Amino acid sequence: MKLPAELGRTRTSITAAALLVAAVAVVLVSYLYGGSSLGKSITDFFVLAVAVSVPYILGGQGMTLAGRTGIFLVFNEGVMLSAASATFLATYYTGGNILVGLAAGALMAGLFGLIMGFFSITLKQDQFIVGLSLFVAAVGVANFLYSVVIGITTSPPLIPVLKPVEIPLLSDIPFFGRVLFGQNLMFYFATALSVALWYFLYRTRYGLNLRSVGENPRVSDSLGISVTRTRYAATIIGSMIMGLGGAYLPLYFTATYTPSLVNGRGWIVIALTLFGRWSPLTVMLGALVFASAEVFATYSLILNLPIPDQFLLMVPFILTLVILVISYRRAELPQALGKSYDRESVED
Amino acid sequence: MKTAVKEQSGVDRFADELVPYLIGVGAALAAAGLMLALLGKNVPQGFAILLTASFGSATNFGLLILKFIPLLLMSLGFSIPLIVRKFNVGVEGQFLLGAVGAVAVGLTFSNGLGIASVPVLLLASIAFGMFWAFIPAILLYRFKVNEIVSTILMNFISFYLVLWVATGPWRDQFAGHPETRQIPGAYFLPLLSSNPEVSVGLVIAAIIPFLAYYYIYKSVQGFELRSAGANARASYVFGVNSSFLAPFALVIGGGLAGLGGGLQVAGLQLRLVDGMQSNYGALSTIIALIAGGNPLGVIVSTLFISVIDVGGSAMNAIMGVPVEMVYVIEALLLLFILMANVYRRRRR
Repeated sequence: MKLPAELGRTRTSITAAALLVAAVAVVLVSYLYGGSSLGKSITDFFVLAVAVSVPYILGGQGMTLAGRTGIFLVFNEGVMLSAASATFLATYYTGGNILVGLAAGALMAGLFGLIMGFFSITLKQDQFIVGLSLFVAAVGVANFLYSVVIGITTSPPLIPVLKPVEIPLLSDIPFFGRVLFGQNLMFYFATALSVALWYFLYRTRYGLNLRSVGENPRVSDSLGISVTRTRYAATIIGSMIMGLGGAYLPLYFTATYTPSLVNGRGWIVIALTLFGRWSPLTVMLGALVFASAEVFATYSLILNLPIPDQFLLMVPFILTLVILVISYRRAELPQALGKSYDRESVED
Repeated sequence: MKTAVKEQSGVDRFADELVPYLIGVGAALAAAGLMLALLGKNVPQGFAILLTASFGSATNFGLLILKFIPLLLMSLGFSIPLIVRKFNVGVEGQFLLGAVGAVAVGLTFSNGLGIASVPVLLLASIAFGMFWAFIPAILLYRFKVNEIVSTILMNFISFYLVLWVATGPWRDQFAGHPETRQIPGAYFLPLLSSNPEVSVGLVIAAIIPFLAYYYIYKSVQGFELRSAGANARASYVFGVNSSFLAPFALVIGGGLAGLGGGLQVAGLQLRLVDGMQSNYGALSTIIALIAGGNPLGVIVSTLFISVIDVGGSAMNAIMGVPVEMVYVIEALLLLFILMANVYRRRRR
């Protein structure tokens, strides 16, 4: 008889081993067939998957940060869209200044985070109700801004897109060089952020305090940790990180704004955060899995499979459902997730 | 929370409940006025159009009914699970599946089914809607999968499913847009009035909230739903099978949203059209949350949201105000009502 925790660990190591074997197999194949078209297309697939994973990584880390203090963000889909809109407009009107664009996107998302905080922390309203209405509001704001500023045009206004930056030496490694070290700066940023967030949450005192608020706000409060301040900060900063994920969409995929830019990624982010058990490194792994599914769906369209395109495009969503089912047993949530904290209340 | 018991007459209590809604509507309209002013538009004219356009012409009144029927049924589809504190964000997909069920009956039995034609079509739409909600329901019951994520994922799957059906063998070869052929005349809902075109669907839709009200507030199961929603653990102790009721309510909600899809096909579109769900999913979420899941309240909030939605389109046509503004206003309305409710409770 094993304790649940041990069981979880065993399963994690099995999963990790399976992923490692798969990774080795992929590397071996692409190495052996390096010059051939098979090796090249496998490498291309992963290059693309890693680039596509950025909004998932950033969205997931934003959710993780807020979730670790007990705030469950469900407005991702809308907030990422509003950030995409703000980023597009700011980049467009500064003549292609991507940094200003990113800042605008983060600020827009941070604003929604602030409102989310006000309703769920200060007014103690149901986080899901507030999140869903802010989702609708954010979608509205995103499209509203674009229509007011740009309106209807015959050809879409364009902004520059992020270019790959090859890291010297490292990018010469076969397979990994192109996949991991030949990406755009936002991917490096997302990776660094994930590691930094992990370090912050699990290796610093502030991180410990922050997590305690998500586990048992009453105890944290009694120990002198400000639940309100911690939750506000995590919600706003988490939303801003998520906003950078939304900002990536026009800067990588389309070079312009369209209302369908997020296309479900915001909701998938919730699923991958649950899958990643609210922990930055596994969330990052989850982001790569979901990004691979997305790339697989679009990649498979050109393979002329005897399956209708629409069913191939369903794959990421169906896979998400399957993964939610698989990960339910080892679900591990901050204990106070989704619950508002009222110091005056007697019940717990 | 009540600290002192104060005797209140029914009228007083009703007025007390009503105040936050009035404040919410007032604040949302003030925000609308502010936005119009910032856009440099004529504010009084904007308000006049926003609130009265629906009743200004037969066409607009028809448009109001056109939005009212699906929104009402989808909001009820959201409301019933909301009683058990489950968020059925998948009403959009369930609505679409109802429409798929309707055209499946209509195009398979193309000679009509005599007197049973319309009932069979509507029953099929209910069954399809229920089936689409059954998947998240079983995932919730068996694997504790968060219903917000799973129902949303089912929406995305349904979009592609509709696209597949609308471009498959049932496709209308002559239409430029993905849509199926028209269902035979035997399945059309009888018209109550031809200008504006209003079908019996309105009567069917108008009966449902009363049935739902009876079910939630007067039946034993309705009581169990409400008690499970108020405190799942306490009601479990008293023998309410809350872990079964939550998924069960989702399936009922799916049936209602599916009926909405069936009525939309048989009463209006007469075919399955890609994108026929419009923005009803987000709007019905807002509507149901405004009404707090009360089916009779849903009638009022659906009417209000439909009126300003039609008004928003008219403002766009006449004054060039982006339609998305209304979308923002609708979400703000819910947030303001939430806020007003908090202060009402604090005042007690």
